[in-house]
Amino acid sequence: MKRISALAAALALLVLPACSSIPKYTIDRKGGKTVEISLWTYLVGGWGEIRHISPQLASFQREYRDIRVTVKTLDYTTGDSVVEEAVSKGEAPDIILEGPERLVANWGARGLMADINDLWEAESASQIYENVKVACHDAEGNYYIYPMCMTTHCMAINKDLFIAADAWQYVNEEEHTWTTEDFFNAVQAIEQYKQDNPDSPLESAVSVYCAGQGGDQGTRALVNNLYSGTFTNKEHTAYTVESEENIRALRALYDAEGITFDDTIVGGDEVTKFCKGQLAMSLCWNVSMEATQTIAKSYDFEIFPMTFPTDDGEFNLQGGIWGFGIFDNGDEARLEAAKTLIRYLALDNGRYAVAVGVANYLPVRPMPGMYDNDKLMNKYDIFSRYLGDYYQVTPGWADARTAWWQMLAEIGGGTDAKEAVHNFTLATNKASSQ
Amino acid sequence: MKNKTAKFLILSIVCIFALCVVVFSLMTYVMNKRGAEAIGELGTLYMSGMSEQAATHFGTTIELRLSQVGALSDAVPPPEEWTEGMEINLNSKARQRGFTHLALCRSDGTFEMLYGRNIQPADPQAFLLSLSEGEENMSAGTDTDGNNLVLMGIPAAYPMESGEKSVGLVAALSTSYIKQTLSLDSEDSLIYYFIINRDGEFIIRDDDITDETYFQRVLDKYENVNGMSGERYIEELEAAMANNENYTNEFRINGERRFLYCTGLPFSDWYLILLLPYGQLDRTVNALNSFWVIAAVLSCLVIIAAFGIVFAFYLRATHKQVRDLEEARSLAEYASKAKSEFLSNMSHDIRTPMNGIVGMTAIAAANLDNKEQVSNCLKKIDLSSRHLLGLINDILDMSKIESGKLELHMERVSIKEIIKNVLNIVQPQASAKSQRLDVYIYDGPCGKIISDSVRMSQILLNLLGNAVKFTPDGGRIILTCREESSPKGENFARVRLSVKDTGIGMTEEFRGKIFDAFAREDTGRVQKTEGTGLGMAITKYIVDAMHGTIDVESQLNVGSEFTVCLDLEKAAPDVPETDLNGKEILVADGDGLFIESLMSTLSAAGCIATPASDGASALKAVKEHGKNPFYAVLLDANLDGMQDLSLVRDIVRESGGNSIVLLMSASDKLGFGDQAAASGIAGVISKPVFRADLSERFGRISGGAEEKTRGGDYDFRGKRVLLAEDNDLNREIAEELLSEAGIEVDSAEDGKICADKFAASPEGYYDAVLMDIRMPVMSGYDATRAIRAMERADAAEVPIIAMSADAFSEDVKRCLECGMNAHIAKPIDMEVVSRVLSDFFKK
Repeated sequence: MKRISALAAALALLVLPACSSIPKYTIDRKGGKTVEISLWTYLVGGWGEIRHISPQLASFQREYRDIRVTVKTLDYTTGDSVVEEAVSKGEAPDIILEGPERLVANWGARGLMADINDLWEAESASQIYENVKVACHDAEGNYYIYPMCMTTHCMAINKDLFIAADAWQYVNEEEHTWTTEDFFNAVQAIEQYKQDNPDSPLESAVSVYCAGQGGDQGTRALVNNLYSGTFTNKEHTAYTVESEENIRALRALYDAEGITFDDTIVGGDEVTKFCKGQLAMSLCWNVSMEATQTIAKSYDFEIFPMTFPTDDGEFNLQGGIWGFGIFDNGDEARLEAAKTLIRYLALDNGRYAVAVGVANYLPVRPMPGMYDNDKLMNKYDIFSRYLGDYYQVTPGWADARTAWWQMLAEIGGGTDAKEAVHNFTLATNKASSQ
Repeated sequence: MKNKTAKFLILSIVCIFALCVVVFSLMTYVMNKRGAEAIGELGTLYMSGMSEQAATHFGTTIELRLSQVGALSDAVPPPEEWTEGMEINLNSKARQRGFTHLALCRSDGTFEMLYGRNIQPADPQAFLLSLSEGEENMSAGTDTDGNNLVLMGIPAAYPMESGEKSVGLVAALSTSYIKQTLSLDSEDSLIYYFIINRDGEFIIRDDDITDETYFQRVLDKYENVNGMSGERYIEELEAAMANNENYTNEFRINGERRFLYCTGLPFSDWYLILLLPYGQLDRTVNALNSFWVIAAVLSCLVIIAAFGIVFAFYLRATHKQVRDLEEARSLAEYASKAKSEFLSNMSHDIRTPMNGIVGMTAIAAANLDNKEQVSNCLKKIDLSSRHLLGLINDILDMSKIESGKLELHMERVSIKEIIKNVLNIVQPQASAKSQRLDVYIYDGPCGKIISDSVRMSQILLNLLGNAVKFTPDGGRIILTCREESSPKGENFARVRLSVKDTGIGMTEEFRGKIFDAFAREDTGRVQKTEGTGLGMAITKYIVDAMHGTIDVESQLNVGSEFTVCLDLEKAAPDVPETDLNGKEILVADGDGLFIESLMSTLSAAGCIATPASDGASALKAVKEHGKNPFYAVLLDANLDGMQDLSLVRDIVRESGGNSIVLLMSASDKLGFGDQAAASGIAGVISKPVFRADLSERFGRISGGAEEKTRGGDYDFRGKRVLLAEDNDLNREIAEELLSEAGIEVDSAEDGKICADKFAASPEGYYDAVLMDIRMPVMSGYDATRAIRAMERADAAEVPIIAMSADAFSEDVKRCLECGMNAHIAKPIDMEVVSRVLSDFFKK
């Protein structure tokens, strides 16, 4: 409730009768030329639907009348190719909503993104969790993403089946954790249950899906946690898949009864099979997945989220981080307008809460009370403590992902884990050397 | 008069200034008042419009939000039993719609939160009651963190974990959302906003407002509410809210005037309070008013200045007009007086000669037998007639000058002829008064020039006439003519004519107005002198018309000198000058000035002149020249020894007859008869002596032509003249005068008879034709043209001389244009007629 200048006051009185825009009782303080910017969003919860984005943009444009925002949503199947095509035509969007693996490790590393270091100077930015921060900048410390929300990928088990198969005993119900041994014991029990119940829809306890990269964070987390292996070094400069721990884990999985390597499905297919009772566990799970499947009523059993099993009690879950990045289109006005929108959505607590709520993920900075009384969120809140290293920003990440599922397919096809892992290393080295 | 006008002007300016001040002050006052009213009206319009829009927008937003809560219920219909899926579904959809809290309302008014901190409506009972009665509702509320919320509830019977059914589904938004949606916290907003409930409690307020309620704020902060107390204002506001009416008022806070507008918001018991500070508007309008006042004052000053300037010009013009009028009146009075005097003078001057004519005629008639007496009377009648004629001529000339019809007719004329003609007229008058009239010609050739001979003659005649007139008997008059180089170039000559007399002179005062018409010095001496007072005015006008100057120097009782200076174009001489270069000439005259002037003339012609002041000196000079006699000896006719021409004979003898001896005389009548030629005189040259005269005379003598001494009387015997004159008396006079000169006269009564007689005569029969102009049957012009058109040898050559009373220059010109050779003005002056005829007969 501020006052404006006398001139504006007089003008307001004069133009009032002729003004027909809404609301008529505010004044565009900036005047000048309207800047048009585009916002492209991947399927990040409700941000994948324009109807959920529109109210926030409408509110923004009421305050910033000289900035006009157009929105386009992308899916994960065709999104990357759409973006690449736009980049090649010089028609890249101004703002894009996705994770660091694309914004930092891919487009940022290729010099397509504008650094948004100044956005990180805001007070609210200082409250962002450290394990999120490190994923948002490159090796030189340039930020290419301003994070909005995050989630912790975990696995889920069919509690009803586990109880029926007498596998529930291997689960730490309070902590939602288990050991590697408990895990394999549970797999064995499930396998036994399957054999005892041939009419059951159960196909196997676990499916290591490897038809593509969809949901690969689950298989990576499973392999790395089993015997304390890692995917990259801590500096995110080299891939460390080819290790004794990982080879042991892969061999153990391959050798275990009840665990199949399926090169016909990806993560989404695995979730479907899990919801149908065909799999006892899902490696591709998170809070949003449960909400989605619950709302879809795709399952009729109780789902119990779990950490990935580990042999040393150190759980390292894969995190999902989503935020806004800005393509460097060489237009200062558009760049500034894009930053203005990001500030508007992400800095103010009230608006930020709405933005995160629409995504239905967790905030990247403390938002007390936001999920108070929300049973589902509270249930998954426990996994935040197990959030591991966000190594998806390691150079050559896209190729490494491809090499990963191809490696799993090789193992599933009978190739020894050691050889397959070596092939993975060769592929990633080749890619990184190009 | 002047003071009155000035006073009127000052008074007018003061009145206008005062009027402007009053008018503009009133206008300023009215404008200020009207400006304040306009602000109020604008504020009301603006605020009511804004309030209406804000209320509508608020209603629309709340309605939208309520509909979203309803849609939430539709998307997730209440199942029979509580399920986790139902809750997750509700939460997900509510978050996607931007709701910060979601809860199910129990029948006891408490809430089962689905997400978000626990909430509490401001009026739980009313909220519950509304939901219980199946109504959608909106309410203010807070959460456990104290955040202000807007709660929106719809009736909904969802199963709860406790097993009971809810009475409603309640979603919440932060009040900041309402602010943002309504743009209430926009930095660009012109207006202060509050949303309050009926108790005055703030639903939405500015962060820096710490008052418990709006009403408390009114009591604490509002300095004045349109002249009423805070309590009274609150009562009015509450009454308006209770009646669901809009409310407007005006108050002051922190010394600033503000406009207030209150309107109810839909779907709630909330009221939107809009406050418009007038400060900026007041300042803007006041600035506008100040500008207007300054502009008005400046305009006023400009208008007054313009009026002042106009008045000043008007005053100056009026003063000038008054002065002009006064001058005109003075002139008119002077002119009237002058004309009265003129008429009086005319009466006197005309009557005097008329009396003389009449009286003398009567005397002559009574003494017809006394020839001497008759002759005397006729002389006086003649004098009176001439004077009367002069008067008439002057009056007519002045009339033409005043009507702007006087024109110059430039022609090839001879200054010599002009001077001699004038002298012929004036000399007798001067002689009659025993005055000595000397003429000195200096330096120049005084040959032909381009000028108006008539008007030049008139100038000289007036100057010499006045000199004669105002110089006592026995006085002296000197006419000097000098020819100098002209600043206009070699083709021009500056002719300086000076007339000096030893007359009565004039006063200093009169000298300043001597050239005014009808001006005559009002003294007894002048009164006795005949004259119209027009002569000098006419002279001045003619000189001005010739682009010349006329100056006068005069000393009372000593004399006057008038000098006319004219730059006249030179004309080619009729005959080439005789080469006198190196000729030795003796000049003998008792008048030293004359000798001086003649010697300068001779020197200009290249002669070697020797002066002699008397006869003895002349003879001595001739003797001394011995064997180298003078080429010529010029002797004044009045020198000693000239009575018996002994001096001439001595000189001829001493020179051996090798010198040309010429006599110089101002008179044409010397009376030497045949003795002159016998004594050896080669001829007579009349004074003044012009270079052209000397050139002509010496040229003729050198050529062997015999010079005959003129006796002075014209002898026209054997000459035959055809006289055309319709007036019997005039014809008779002319016949008589011409006959006396030995001319045989044939008369014709009109132009046609004249032409017929000429046609009927043998070729060369008539030596000249004297033609009157105004004649019946055929005018003189037509008769002349008829004669000139005749196919006979003498038709083109015979001299036709106009003799008419139409004597203006244009009349003369017209005569010449139609083929006449000369013009003689009536009445007939036989002297003039004789001279003119003589010139033509010589040819």
